[in-house]
Amino acid sequence: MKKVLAIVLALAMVMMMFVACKKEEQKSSTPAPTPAPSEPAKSSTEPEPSKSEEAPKYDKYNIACVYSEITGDFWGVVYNGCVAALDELKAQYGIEGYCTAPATASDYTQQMDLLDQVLLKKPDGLVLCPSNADSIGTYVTDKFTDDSIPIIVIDRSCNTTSPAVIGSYTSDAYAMSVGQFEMAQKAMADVDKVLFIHLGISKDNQQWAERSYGFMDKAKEDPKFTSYTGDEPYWVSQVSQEICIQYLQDTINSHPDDNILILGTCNSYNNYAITAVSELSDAKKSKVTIIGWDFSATEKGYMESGDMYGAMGQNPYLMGYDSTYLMCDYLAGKGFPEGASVPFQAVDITNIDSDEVKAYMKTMGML
Amino acid sequence: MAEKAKKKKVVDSGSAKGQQITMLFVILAICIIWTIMSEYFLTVDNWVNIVHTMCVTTVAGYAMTICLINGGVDLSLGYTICFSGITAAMVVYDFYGKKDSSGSIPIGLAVGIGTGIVVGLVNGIVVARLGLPPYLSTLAMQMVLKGLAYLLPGLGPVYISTSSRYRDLAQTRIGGVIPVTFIYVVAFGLILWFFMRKTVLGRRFYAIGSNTEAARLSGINVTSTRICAYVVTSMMAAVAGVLQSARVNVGSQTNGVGMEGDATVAAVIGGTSMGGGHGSLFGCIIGGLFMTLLKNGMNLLNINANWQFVLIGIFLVISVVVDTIRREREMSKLDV
Repeated sequence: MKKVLAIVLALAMVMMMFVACKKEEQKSSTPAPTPAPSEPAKSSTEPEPSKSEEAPKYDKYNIACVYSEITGDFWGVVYNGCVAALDELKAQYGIEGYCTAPATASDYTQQMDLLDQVLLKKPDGLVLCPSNADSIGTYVTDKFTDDSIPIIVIDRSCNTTSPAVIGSYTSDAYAMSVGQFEMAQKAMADVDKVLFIHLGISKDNQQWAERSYGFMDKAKEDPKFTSYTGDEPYWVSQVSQEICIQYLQDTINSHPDDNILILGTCNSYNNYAITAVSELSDAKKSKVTIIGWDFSATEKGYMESGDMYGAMGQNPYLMGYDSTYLMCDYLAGKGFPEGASVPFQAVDITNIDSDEVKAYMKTMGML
Repeated sequence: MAEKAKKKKVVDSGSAKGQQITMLFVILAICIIWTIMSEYFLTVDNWVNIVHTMCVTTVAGYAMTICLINGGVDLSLGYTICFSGITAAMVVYDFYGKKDSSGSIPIGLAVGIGTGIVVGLVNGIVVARLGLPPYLSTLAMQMVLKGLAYLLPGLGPVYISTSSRYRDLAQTRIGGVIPVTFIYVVAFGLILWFFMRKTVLGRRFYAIGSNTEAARLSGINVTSTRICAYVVTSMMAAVAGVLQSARVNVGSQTNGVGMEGDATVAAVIGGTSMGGGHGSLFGCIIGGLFMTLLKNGMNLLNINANWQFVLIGIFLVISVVVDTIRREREMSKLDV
């Protein structure tokens, strides 16, 4: 019995390996089924950084894109942008490339394995989203000791001194956070005092931390806003989902007379806030306002149902699309543009039906 | 040997009840302290939230209690919660928009709980039939479920439409006040109590956990009973998973992760023996309530969340040490 089961399990394992390899092959060469925009996204707030300029002549480069994840509301769209750029570049210039990520977003050890493979394959350029700023940063410092494989870092910080890193293509998190504060001022215009809880991600990563600090710095200048957690946000990565939800509910319950504002800094935390508030009594709900971060179909639904006032949206499609082109530009000798950043868009219940937001949603494949 | 086993049974039973009574006093003391320190502790809204919060932990605690009573351990419990919530959410998500969303919810429930039954069946066969150590086999299952939780949905978390009724499963309030989750905790507690105490299979769980060899010699089919115990454990974990995904309205890869720890703490603080054979579902409610109350009061007072972990960890050690000392004393009394 045991022998038969062992043989069956071994055969199943071999078959699964074949299936997994086949799927991986398909994934690195074909776009995901999520609707992609018919044309490269246009920025709603800033000019498109690379494609709109005069197209350079590229050689047959080989580009590796190693992200922290390639699924989900946000990263699935980044992946689509990258694949669309790779397909265009392959058709026009014969450029080869692939896009991959560890199975779990936070699994930086698996990302290190993927980077080991990059070092073996020696592509012409690497677009990297580090799973962990410090661990991957140290790895990059140790292993990418020269600039033979130039690296563009996307979405977040990578704490490294490696000469290989030629630039960073992220949203200006601090500016977005300031934008979130301006949205909060608009949302809370009718009340005298606001007690807010900023759900920060982690202090370890500068880009993530700035998602909170822009808001908190601005709030210090406005006496109407008081932070419930003092100078620092509530760092959610240190606790579990259940603890965060309970914390929000308990805080709201212990301040029945205050107007409470909850700020998210990613899709998951938006949902924690929505869940926490949805279980409260109607009287308590009416005193709470939620402003999120990262706009997707889910946030759109929350705004339409009145559960969320608004959200700051990055443009994940452009993050994937432009970063691939930026690498080709660099390899073609154009250098890395100073101050390049992923455009963002503030979406709230007052402008969700505007042409500007509709154009933005189109670039995200939402329309 | 039979004398020693009998003595151990008497001591364990008395010890578990003693621990529960002690815990009730501890809970009362906590309530008094929080009432003095926060004027919002004894409010209806706060207690409604406490009940909401403790529901999933307590149902997961039921699952772990049954597993521990049977002398097993289930490290895959957290990911069973996660994965069954995802499968249920996927069904609800796929139906939504194509058909009446409410029609998809019973099917989602069935699929989610069915997922748990399959997981439990595999766990049970690997542990009881193949004889692999439960730590190893359920750890392997944890890894499998973790992988599947990402692979199966394909697009990360499965967000359910805000207009779906799925969320009502966990958020409805009966009479506008009593959370439906409270009814679940009580109903599942009563059903499982009846099952464990009044049915032959339930009593066999205790017998096997207390002394496997004696149970085998008395004619109990240990293999099939162990498999059943793992099925019931994972089924209850799946119930917790469906409730959790309904609560947050998303089948997420973070739902329930690490909850095997909370469930074990709830069970052990409530008097369940890590050695098997003893424990009660009522104790599990006490354990779940204790942890929720501790966190609740600290939140009301705006105390850093990380202190909650420190305090619960310390309390877990204290409760196990006190329990061990009490057992030793009672054993020595019986010897005299």
